[in-house]
Amino acid sequence: MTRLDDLQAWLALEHEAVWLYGMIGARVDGLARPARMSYDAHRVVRDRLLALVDAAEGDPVGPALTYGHERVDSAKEARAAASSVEERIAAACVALFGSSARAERRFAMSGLRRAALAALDWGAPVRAFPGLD
Amino acid sequence: MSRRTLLGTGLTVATVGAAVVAARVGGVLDDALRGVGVEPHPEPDPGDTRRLARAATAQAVLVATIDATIGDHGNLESQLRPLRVVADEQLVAVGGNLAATSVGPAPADPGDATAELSRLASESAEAREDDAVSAASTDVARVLASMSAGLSQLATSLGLVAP
Repeated sequence: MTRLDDLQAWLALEHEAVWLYGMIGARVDGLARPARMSYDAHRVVRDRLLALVDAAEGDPVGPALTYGHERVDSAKEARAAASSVEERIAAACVALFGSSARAERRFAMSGLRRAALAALDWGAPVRAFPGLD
Repeated sequence: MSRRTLLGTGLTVATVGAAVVAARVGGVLDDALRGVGVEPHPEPDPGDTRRLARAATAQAVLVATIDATIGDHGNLESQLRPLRVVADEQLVAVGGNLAATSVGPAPADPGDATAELSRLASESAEAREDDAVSAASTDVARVLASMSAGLSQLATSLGLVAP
């Protein structure tokens, strides 16, 4: 995997997160506020990744039509889906960390830490090595 | 990169971490690396050796401090024990142990004691990030970055332990 591949993999997950949190906010009572905060945060990261992929002369991956979260109607289902996407983002950040030059590692680290803490907030357990286990 | 591959990378580097520490004494680094299935480099980066050693030392202090807190505040044990398991997993992965580590007693106030644990984990998370960013080896960088994120999760969870 090249740096561009790793950026694209992370970008694809940010598209999914934006889609998921929009749906949670609209469909799950009681989670509208945290879903909105997550939605806004992921839009910022998505846009930064779009710029990075573009700067690397890549063709940025776009959002999918659906992500298989059609059954997210309850708070429990929403938390499980949110934890899942955050943990997969953590894994994408770990991958990018290894393929990046040192200057870009801080950016990958900020994404990794944000995803790890978000996963915790949405109900994932504490992990020794987020993104690796 | 698949989750399974990433896990394999982590375990390999964890084992390498232990091997590197041992090799500093025995001078058998290349054999140790081959023993865990990693092609040795002509010269292992001495900076990465120090980064792993620092991670092991700081992690031993964190685990020992959790143990001291459990010893002094038994009512916190049920909340601290699962977090201790995670911290110990990190300790083992970077080749550390508690043999040469001693810490003082926990603060008398349970709230202060858990705040101190959270502070230790947070400080270590920052230090591991710095070492991950500067690491020469890609695998060492990934493992330390992931460990840093795990320490941030630990710091948050330790801060939520209720006396």
